[in-house]
Amino acid sequence: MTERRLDYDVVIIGSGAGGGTVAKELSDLCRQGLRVALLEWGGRFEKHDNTRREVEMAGKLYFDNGGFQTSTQDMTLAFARALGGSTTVYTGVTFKPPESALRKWNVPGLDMTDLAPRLEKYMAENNVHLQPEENINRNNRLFAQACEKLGWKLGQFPLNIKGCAGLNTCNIGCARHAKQGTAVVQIPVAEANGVEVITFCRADRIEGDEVVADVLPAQYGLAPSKLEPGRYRFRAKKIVLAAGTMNTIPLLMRSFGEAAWPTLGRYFTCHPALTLVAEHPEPVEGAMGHPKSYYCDEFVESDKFLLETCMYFPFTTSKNLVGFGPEVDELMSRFRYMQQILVLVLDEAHAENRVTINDEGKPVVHYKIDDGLVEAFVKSVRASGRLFFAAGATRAHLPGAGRFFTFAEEAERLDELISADRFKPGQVSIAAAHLMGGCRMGTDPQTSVTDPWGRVHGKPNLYVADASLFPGSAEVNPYLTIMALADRVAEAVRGDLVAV
Amino acid sequence: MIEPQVHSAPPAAVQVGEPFLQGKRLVRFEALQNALVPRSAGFSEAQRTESRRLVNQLVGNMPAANQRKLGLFLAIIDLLSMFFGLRAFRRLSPVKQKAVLVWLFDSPVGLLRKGFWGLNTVARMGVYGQPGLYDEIGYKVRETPHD
Repeated sequence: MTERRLDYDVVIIGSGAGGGTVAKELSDLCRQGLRVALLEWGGRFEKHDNTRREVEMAGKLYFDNGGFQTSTQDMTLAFARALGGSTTVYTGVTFKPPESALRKWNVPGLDMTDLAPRLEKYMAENNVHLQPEENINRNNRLFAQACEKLGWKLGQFPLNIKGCAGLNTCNIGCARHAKQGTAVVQIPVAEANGVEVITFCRADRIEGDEVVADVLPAQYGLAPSKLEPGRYRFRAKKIVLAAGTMNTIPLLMRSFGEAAWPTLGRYFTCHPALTLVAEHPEPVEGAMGHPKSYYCDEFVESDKFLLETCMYFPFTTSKNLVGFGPEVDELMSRFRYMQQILVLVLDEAHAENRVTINDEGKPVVHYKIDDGLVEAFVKSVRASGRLFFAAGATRAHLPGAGRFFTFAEEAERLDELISADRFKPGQVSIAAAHLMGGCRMGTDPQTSVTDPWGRVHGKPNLYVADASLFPGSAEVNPYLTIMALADRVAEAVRGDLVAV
Repeated sequence: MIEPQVHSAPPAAVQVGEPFLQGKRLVRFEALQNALVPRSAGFSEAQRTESRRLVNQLVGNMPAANQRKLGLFLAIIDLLSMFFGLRAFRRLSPVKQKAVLVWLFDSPVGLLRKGFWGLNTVARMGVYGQPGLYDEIGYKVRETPHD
């Protein structure tokens, strides 16, 4: 196969919250002659490319249609393939990392004093704000009213949106580009400053100072890559891996071996999630308006789960219903009357939860749904049941109850009805989209893969700038934390380039 | 240390080869789909065609090993059905069909539960993945404004 060589100073692999941020932060140097390339496996989705059809867009925007299975096949993972990475398919929910999570990470120099100005910078850049009350739909208001009634802690999500028309289809991309992800904010700045964006470019491995990659033919009618399809070698002084946990780790493993660093791929966390559904007597019309306005962190300290509002599409909703037969159709026919809650379990980092690669070099995720997680799920379902019924739902679909519907009259018996022995992994739909860890930061190469600034131990010209850096769970939706860490990595690259 | 791999195959989203649903597999799958998601039993020809298209696209994009597993699982259900009524699944009474599905759904064997989950998910995608069904189920979103 003919290989073409291209020379750059910096090559960034991946264009999500990490890569898009690094590209933008280094882009002013392009004006001084620095050559920067941003490689992205997926294509560039313009507004008109988004049909808002669930299955079609999931196939175009996600790896494995958003349903990548773990090795034990009891959880699916969603991660995107598009310019902007997973910032293209998030809902724009913006959280600063809790100080408690940073303390647990225990990375020297990485504290709120360092991160706060970086977090503030991106919150301003991405137009993070609270939605005005008139834009909050009934699905969200029901959640808030129930929390208030129950005396539970309630918070409103800051969102990074601009010109949101409340289309509700955020998780299959925004047909308005209202979410201020990297494809909308940071990458256009980077390109204007001279960063070369190369779409449909799949990085295969790193050899010395070169990234070996394939440029693929365009798909889905999207604009083709600026390079002809074929194999390329991108030579660079600095290489930044920001392909996300599910691609950065395999890339390192394919390049240097699975055991190149003892903790490579390990300490994977993902906020395993459940989507729960209840039915109200009056229409909720939850699919009209932005899907996410509120969260409840009442149980974060005590039981390690967070409750969030959500509203998913028909197939995704149906996938989360445990069971089969007429009851599924019956509930699905009441879509207008549905209230939905997303449960995120704040999982601890364990070495045995990890990403490896198969014979083809593709990612394999080993993740154990252990008794602790099941207990957290069971408590979260009971809490969600209370919330649904406090909101006025007449019946709810609560996994772990052993039957399809639980009724409002049974609200006092939820502890008894929902139990761990009826909550069976493989039967309940568990999914995750916050994929973190595997290239954890630290100072010791025996217990970490990169230094606190994202430099890969023993590889002075190689950096990581995505959620794989997290030594443990972020305990909140992670994109803003990724951007702040990427800002640190960009600072390190810039400093190291000067030193060169 | 493994040898670095050269990936020259097309990306996963490109479908190649024969459609998954054809012949016996199609008959087996649709009998199961009708029991799992009864709404599909009343599908019009166009809805049936769309369901097949969606399923073939999804399964066609899966790795070949997963396609084989799904095909095998369909055949296993027919074998299992013999224990419930000496017939293939599609020829069982609705009561016995339900008994087969309950047995798989609630199986003490994790692998069978997971296989059932996978099949159930694919069956639902053929139904609730159809935008043509949105009005019928009351799924209503705002129109995309034109700039």
